[in-house]
Order: sequence, then structure tokens, then C-alpha cells
Amino acid sequence: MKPRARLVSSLLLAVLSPGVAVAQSSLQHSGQAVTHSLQAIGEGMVAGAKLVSGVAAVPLKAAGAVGELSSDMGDALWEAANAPAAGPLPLTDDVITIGPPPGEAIRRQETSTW
Amino acid sequence: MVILNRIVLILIGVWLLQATAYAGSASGGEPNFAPEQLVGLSKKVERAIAARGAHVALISRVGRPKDELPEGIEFTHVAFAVYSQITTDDGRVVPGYAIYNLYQSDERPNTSFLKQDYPLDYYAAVHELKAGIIIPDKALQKRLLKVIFSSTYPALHNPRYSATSNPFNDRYQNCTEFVLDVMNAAIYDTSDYRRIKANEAAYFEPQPVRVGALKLLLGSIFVPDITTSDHSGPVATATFGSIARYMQRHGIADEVFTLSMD
Repeated sequence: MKPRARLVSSLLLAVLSPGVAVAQSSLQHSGQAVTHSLQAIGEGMVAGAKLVSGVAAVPLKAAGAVGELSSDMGDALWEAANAPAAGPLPLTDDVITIGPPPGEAIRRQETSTW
Repeated sequence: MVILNRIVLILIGVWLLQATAYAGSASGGEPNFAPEQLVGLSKKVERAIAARGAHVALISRVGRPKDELPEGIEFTHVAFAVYSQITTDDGRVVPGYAIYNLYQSDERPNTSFLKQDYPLDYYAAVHELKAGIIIPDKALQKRLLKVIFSSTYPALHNPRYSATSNPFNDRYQNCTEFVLDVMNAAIYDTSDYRRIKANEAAYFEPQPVRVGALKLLLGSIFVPDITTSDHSGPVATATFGSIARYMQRHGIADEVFTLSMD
């Protein structure tokens, strides 16, 4: 096979074979856009579940809420995962997402204030 | 000869378009599934983890079409789910899972950042209604909690992103390598990155990336989030599957399973 023909066949193989970058794909923006659109169109309800924004998340231990995050949190966290397996953990039925983009959040606040 | 030259140029152009699309094709942000399906998947994952009493789990997603995934790679992104007390914007406090991620930057694909979000955010732009889940054993969950909420967690982040990062050195990092690093910081109770990497080199077997040499070469030249400069031999990287095998082999996973929507 001539060198140029070999180049063409190699390029054809490269074009037709699976991608490289798909080994990993950890883009965040697309998911964010989708949840923002869900928030917008769903007016807080999707599939019968209430859609709310999470303002803060603090790890819980089995027997109750852990205190606020701090450098002293270690002991509570140790207890948390060390608790005996007590069956299923309770979960909210709400669907929680990150908040809307800053501009939209400002507009929402303006609307509700005025 | 002129025609052949044109064919070569067209093929290179098509390949570059493909490669760029693979690296950033999700930027449109259009959901691939109905909102009800995405809510269903994210809630199904949460409930499966909670049913097992897990305070920390590793969860994965399929962020690309199945036919674009290299052989042996089933999921494209991995993160930690941590059982949490969540304060909502309407002032309530509810139990649920918060997700701790390394995300690739949209504007600068060869960089990354750390972010906490929630299951629906995590699964909103998936290409398959499928999730891989690893429940670490209780001892590892305990240690993971300690690391995730310590200064070690951000210190382990290397913002230089490569989709094919070599997990055995500190040149680049991707989401799965970050998860692996955090896990080994927990296992060995250390923030010493050299020690973490030494133990990964000794015990972890990354997933070979079975892509043609020409494609890898062109990718490393033209696509910003791909480099092979950190590999001295065959390209291999951390994946959900290779992390699951590592944890099972060393007896630190209670359960590894896959969920999908009916």
C-alpha cells in the first residue's frame, strides 16, 4: 500500500473509531443548564415531586444531625459512619437541586419583593 | 493526487470536529430524557443508597452516547454521595444526599474545579438512564467522611485536567482519579500525595484506553483535555469499573451494582 493511501486508511479508521475524550466526561455545565430549565418550566413541581434548591448540606449521622462543619467535626463524622447498620436511612421526597444562575436568582428575588 | 490531498484534509477536518464534539458536545445543555425520567433516576439512586444505610457511596453516570465509549468503559463520571442534612431555599431542613464532584471546566476544558451539588444536577444531562454504585464498607465510609470534610480534600485537587490522565503520577487529574486519590487518602490516613500515588502504583490497576494510536496522537495535539504526555507506555486511566475492581479485590466494598430505569 502506498504511503498516502495508508494515511487515508488510517485517518478513516481514526474517524470511525470511538473517541478518546469519552474515556472521561465530567462536564458540569450541561447538567446545570438542564436543572435550571427544569426549575423554570416545572414551577417547583416535577413528576409529582417538589423541586427545591439546596442552600446548604451538612453530613448527617445515623442518630441525628451533626453540628456545623468545623475542624472539630471529626468525632461526629467518625460516629456517623461507625453507627451500627440500622436499616434504611430516611429520605426527603423533595427533589433538590443547586440554585438558579445568579442573574435569575436576582430577578426572582426582585419579583417576589416587589 | 490533488483529490487524495483533499480527502486527507477532509478526513482530518471531520476527525477534529468529532474530537471537539466528544470533548464538549454537552454544552448545549439539552436534556436527553424527560424531566420525569431524570427525577426518577436520581431518586432511584438516592433510595438505593439510603436503603443500604450508606452515609457515603460512589456514584457514576453515563455522560456520552454508548457508541462513543471506548471498549471497557461503561461510565464517564464518578463522584461521592454523602448523606446530609440539607437546608432548602424555602427554609426547611430535609435528609438527602449531597454530591461531591470534580467537574471539568466548560470554558477551559483542560482545567477542573470542585463543586458540591445534588443527584438531579448530577444526572440531568446523562445519555443513558443508568447509574453505577459502589457502597464502601463501613470503615472506609467513616474515613471518607473525615477526608471529604477536611483540608485534605481540596488539597488533593489538581486542576490540570486530562480525560486520559495517568493515575500513577501527579501531572494531570480527572474526576475518577480524584475520587481514587481521596479514597486512598482515607485508606492510608494521609494527605501525603507521594504516598497516595505510591500505593496506587502498587495496588491499583487502571483501565487501558483502547483507542487507535493515531487517534490518541491527534487527540493529544488538537484536543485541549487530552494528553498522553503523562504516560510512558500504553494509555490507561482510572474509571468507575477499575475503581470497583480495586475495592472488591481488596475487600473494602460492601456492594457494587448498576441501576437503570425500566
